[in-house]
Amino acid sequence: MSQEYYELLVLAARYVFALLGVIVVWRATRWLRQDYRQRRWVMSALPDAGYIGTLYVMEGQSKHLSPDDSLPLPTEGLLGCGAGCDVRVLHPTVSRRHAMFEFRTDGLHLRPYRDERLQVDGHPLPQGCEAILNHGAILTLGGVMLQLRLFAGVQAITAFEPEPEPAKGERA
Amino acid sequence: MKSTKNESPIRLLVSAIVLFEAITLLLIAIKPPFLNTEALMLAVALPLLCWISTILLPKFVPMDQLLMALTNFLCGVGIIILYSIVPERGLRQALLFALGLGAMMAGVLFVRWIRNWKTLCWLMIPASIGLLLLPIAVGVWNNDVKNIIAMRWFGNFQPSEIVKLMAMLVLAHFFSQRRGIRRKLPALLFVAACLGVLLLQRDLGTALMYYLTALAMYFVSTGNGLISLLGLVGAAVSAVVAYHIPGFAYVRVRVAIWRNPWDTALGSGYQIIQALMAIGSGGLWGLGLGLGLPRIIPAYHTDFIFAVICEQFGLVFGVCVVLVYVALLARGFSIALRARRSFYALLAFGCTTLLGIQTFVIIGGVIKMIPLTGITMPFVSYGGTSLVSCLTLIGFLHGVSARIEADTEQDIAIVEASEDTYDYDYDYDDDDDEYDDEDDWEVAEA
Repeated sequence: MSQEYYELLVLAARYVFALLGVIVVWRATRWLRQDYRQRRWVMSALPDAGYIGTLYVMEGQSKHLSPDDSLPLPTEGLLGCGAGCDVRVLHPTVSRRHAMFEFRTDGLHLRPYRDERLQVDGHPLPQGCEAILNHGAILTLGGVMLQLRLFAGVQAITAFEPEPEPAKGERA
Repeated sequence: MKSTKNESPIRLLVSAIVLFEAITLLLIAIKPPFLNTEALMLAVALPLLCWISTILLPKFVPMDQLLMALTNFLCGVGIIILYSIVPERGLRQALLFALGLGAMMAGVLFVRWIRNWKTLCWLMIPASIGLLLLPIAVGVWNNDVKNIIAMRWFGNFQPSEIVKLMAMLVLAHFFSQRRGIRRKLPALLFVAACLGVLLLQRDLGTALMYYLTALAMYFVSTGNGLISLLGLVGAAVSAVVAYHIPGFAYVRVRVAIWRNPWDTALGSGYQIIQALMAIGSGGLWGLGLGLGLPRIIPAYHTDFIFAVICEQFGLVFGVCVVLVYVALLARGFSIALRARRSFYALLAFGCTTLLGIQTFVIIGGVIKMIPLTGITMPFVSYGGTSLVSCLTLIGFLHGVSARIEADTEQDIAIVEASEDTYDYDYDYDDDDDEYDDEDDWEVAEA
């Protein structure tokens, strides 16, 4: 092939490359949109996905909270009335960050945030200590009494994967 | 669950990438005066590698196909551009891409199967600092920066590229601890130490990447806007200080050529002017593969490779490359948002943010949007350590994505188990003292 013909071929190929670039972007965007829709569909089919149960409000009345409310409970996070909390208990007696929790194979590990007051089944939880809660446990944060209600199938989690060993001194 | 396999846009996406790679390499192969058999072999090998890694590999290793396809496209563009200018470099980049895919697999399995990160992260801290200190001891100066080690057989090795992988894991681990600033302190000290060593190497581009990524991860993990804002202000103050102190005189030069490169058109502003002229001369559709004068641009194979892409393939294609990066980042953030555990969410967020900052800093520098900083364009620029580390970051994202899939399967199992045992009967009797048993709770000293 002569140099002239080759240059013509390369000049024509420029448009093909631009088209292929556009196709790549278009299909990637479509994929992202499709994936988003599919996720929404899965989430609507699994409304409790990512949650292990609920915190049922037994006592505590405020503008945004009333008895019989159920607060969805994720596997780990912060409990409090602050905007950054994973479970928001909107009550004036609850601190912005009141407690930290994490679900492990033996139950829900609960620890007060700094020196916040917390009661588990009527017993005060001292600062720096950790309680392991199971289904039905009652925790009191300020003037709010909550009951832990784990989903019936949550025990299936343990059948899938063993949790890592906790760090030394983290809990008994 | 509804299957989306047939509806997935994977086939057309991969076909477009394979076609692009095959046509470009065939064009290079038939370039007169003689037939380049090496390019012909590459025209078969590269599309085949793309097909295997995007279609075949996810059947055996849990991977995100969209991430894989986009990564393949970007790496392919890099290899083709490098091969069209200097075939030896293109061939070496292709070999490193294959090696990087191996590193990516390792990254996937690493994130997928390792559960206890604590010991590993504590070990990574001294290892990272040690690696970063190596160029100061045995490294060579390269454009006023001492961040690489020259090895006789292996070529140049940049430890900061490997350290960024460890930094992501360490930061994600310590920032995911929800027990106040005390638990995050090792990570903050680690970042400070890394920045200190990078400043000794005068590698401000990498230091900027590390700092902004760490700051973004800190903000995401704590939600503390005040400290994060203070961090940003601190970075701005440091930049002003660096501008004025004699030790970092080249910062002043970079800012000067950013403001007006035409003042020193034949001196320090030469490279940015050549890059801008290359982008301009390419026009919308480019000058054609192999027809421009990319060798005129200094550092055409590393820092200024985006200018070469625009010159050869045109502005339309250049915008497509930028949009592919945007799609890649969108996918990364989507993975981070879906992760259940904070460690995985932070890891995915950190990896994506790091790649995003790196891309923005280098493309922004080449098109004169921000002052130029000498870092590589992820997946595209010539550089073995950078390519392998970027592919490993993508491997981490694949690993987190695989964890999310496993979590979704667990959710389905939980729902099915719930349906089998109870029908969500929560008419709980408050007077029932079944759960008031002392054994149901325990308190222990930490």
